[in-house]
Amino acid sequence: MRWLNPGHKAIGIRYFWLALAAALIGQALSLLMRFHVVDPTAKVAWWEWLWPVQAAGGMMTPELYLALMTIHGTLMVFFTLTLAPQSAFGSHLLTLQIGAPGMALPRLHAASYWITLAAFALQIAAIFATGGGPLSGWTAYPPLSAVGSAAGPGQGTGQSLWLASLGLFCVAALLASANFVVTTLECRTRGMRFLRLPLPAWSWFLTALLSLPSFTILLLAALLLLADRHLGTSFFIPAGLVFTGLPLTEGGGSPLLWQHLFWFFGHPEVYIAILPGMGVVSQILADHARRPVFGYRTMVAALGAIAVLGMLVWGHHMFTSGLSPYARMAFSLLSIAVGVPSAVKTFHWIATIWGGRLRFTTAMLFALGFVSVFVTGGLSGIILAQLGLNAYFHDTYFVVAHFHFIMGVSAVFGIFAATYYWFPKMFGRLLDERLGKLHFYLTFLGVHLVFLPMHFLGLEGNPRRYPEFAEFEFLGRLLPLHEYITWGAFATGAVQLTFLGNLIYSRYRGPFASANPWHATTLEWIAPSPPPPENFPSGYPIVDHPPYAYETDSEASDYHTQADAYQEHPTTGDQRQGLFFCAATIVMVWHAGLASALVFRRFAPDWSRLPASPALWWAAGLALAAAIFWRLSIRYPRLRLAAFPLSFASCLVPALLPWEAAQGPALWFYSLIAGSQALFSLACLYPLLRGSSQPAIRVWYLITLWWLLWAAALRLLA
Amino acid sequence: MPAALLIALVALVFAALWIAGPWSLPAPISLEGRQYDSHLALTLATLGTAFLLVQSLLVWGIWRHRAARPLRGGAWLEWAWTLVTAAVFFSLAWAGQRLQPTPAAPEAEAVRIEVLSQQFAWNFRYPGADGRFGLTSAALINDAAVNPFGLDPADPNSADDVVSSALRVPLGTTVELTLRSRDVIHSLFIRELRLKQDLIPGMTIPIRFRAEQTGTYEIACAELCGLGHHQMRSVLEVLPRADFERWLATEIARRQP
Repeated sequence: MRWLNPGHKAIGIRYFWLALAAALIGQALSLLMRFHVVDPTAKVAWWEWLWPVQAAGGMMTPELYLALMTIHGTLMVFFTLTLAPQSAFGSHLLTLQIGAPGMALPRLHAASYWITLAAFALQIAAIFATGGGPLSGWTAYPPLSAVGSAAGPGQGTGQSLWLASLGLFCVAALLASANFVVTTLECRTRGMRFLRLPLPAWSWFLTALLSLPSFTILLLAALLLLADRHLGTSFFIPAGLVFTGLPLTEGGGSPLLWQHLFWFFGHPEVYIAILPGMGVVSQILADHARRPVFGYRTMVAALGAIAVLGMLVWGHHMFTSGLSPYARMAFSLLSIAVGVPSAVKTFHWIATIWGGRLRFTTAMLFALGFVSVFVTGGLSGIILAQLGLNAYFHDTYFVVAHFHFIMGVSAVFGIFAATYYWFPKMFGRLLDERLGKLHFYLTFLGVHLVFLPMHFLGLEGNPRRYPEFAEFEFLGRLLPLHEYITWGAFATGAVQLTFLGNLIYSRYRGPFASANPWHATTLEWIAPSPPPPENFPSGYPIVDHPPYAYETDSEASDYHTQADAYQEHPTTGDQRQGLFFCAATIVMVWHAGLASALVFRRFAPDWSRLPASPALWWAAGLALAAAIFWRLSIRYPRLRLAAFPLSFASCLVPALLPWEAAQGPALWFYSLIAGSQALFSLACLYPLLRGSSQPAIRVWYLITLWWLLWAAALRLLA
Repeated sequence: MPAALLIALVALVFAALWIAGPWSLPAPISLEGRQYDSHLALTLATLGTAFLLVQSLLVWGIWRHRAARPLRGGAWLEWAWTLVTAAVFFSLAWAGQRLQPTPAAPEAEAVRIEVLSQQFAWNFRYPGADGRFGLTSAALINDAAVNPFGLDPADPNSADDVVSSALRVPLGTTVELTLRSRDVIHSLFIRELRLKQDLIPGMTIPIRFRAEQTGTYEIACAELCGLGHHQMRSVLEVLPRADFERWLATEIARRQP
């Protein structure tokens, strides 16, 4: 079944083509949008062919514009900026950089690719859904996204497909991230200590760690919203809504809960998109300046600081949502704090090239361009992060300019740099450099033609997500600037054809690449181009040099690769332990998300008491008993057979008991908690009954402790 | 070399357009608006300098790529730029903390207005001569009969409530808005006041402002609310006190035939 699981490098390449397809569609949608805002009454025959209702007569309706915008955002954020840097290059190159023969969990790896592909298919289906594509943006704020067709066209099937696609994407991302974490922890070759990891490997590892909690919460949020839409719950729908004279019967939910859950995912997502770019740019700058990365340890620390702080700043997307002033101040200061490690990285990149013998390949040009646009996008973030200044710019084109620079263009420059840099390794052929340089110069100019003027639209207060500007006097005056941006967008879009052509031509006709065309130091350049299935055919490297050993004293060459010696067999650790760590993270974050839903529900006016305290005590007691049995089973292994059913029962009790007693949201809480716990128990069954159960026992302690805390919290709140 | 030139060109054009371009915020009409603009100017000057400085370092690093002496690592250098960056960023934030979106204390004199947003219109309600808002009920909402709030005719307080589709306020008086939404999330955006606040269904959010210049200013919706989002327009009319009283009296009289 080679096509089902073709190995991690081929999966990486498939991810690459998938991300490319998503980017092309996403960009085409953005061009349609740009065309519509400057000429809303234009009639284009093939639009009607694609969307017979939403573009009847060939004229794009506002709802079609909003649907295209939603899908553009989703395709770009999820299927391009998450897939290309992390899944595509990471899948292909992580094991090569750490000297491993393959991913720790190869079947899980293939599963995550296929699930992603299914998510992509659903996303495309959503554009053409009956009743129109979803029109609530990639942020999908309820109640607009929660109440179905009452809120307008496209909020029916289209929105549900979109949510289902998002849910599948989360599942795939969680599987892939767990795999990346375990692989980095357990499969590094001999001598590859953490402080010898190349920076791209560091960034993939940290991105995977960041993905675990954030995609867990998004999965939870998507499921809760789907439940609101189809199962009659109301996590996000407050009481007393009236749509065009039509009262809704649901009530008691909180629209702000979605914003908290969504942005708890959504802000780390920005870093999920950009961290791998930072990693590869650091490596390219060092390779092409023939100098070690300036302050390697500080660079690692800054990556870590950005990842940690990135988890704590989601509230800055909610400055106008009515949060308490103290919460807003804390989020504002934390957001500004993220600027510090980001600035430090910028200084280190400049210090790395300072006085180096620079070689201006296309990869290097895109890496330099990355630094420049990262500065532009980062500094406008310091304006938006300030609580006082945020209000005017919130949801205007200033924000559009900011996130397109920092998340869009920077991350895409990272992807381009990585493509020009690693293409020879992945495909065994070199990309055309002249075409590549043309691509860089025109793209660098083009993105500034498009996104710089958006800052000025923001100054004028032009709101984003407007399909037309005719209604407002102050917007009518800005039309010439919009027209100019549209020209820029079409020109920049056309320039990308050089990249596409270069990829396709060089894939088949490019000159063959040597194993190490850039004279670089990291382990992927020891393997042949392209690497065979086992990665290192002439033995697995034993690492004894730091990752960027340039400026050597030797006459022969100015660099040391990381390894001088080889061993016959790869080094692998205990992969189960890492896997359990990931599973525990997912379950615990899932529960934390539910806990936040519960807290929000607690303060809703129509809160009904949770009626199931006996179930809680039973479950907590069983969990405690299970924990004791697990501890004893270290000494008396047979007791595992009793401990497992006890653990499993502790999950089933809350699922079964309130089914009789509870109605409405309370039932959902219990079922979801217990369901996730039960899945985790089942997953644990396999390794527990097979081999050493030590790591699993540790994880079980953690989960049990968490469960008891949870039960106590429920008791206090109910 | 062309890369250095290109980055320099783009950075300079961008900076020049910020300084000399025709685009700017509209003139503020409140004290908070003026304070906002002065802090924005400080922020832009600081960050603009940082922008030009860092881009020049990058350009210079590329341009002098062989001639310069390579930079050697040193803890003092890393500490220096970390601390300087932190100091600049946090000083800006500190200076900006005094910007409060609304004046602090409630005022007895304030004009109270209830704002109710719906797909895709703004509704404003004044309590009338008795100074009390009448009871409302979602079941009584009837857009065709111009009762977007669902005013309860049985409640005597609602008899003189005035409902308007434009926000009319007196000059130089504190206005207290109570924001509610009937269906989805909307956001009240008045550029000249530098004011933006979401209206969240299920929440009641108070905000205040005091306009110091008469005139008509556009109100836009700044949170995606559906297919008519871009048409959700109203106006803020700042009237001299006497004109405002006269208008309100006329409207109250119209409500009570």
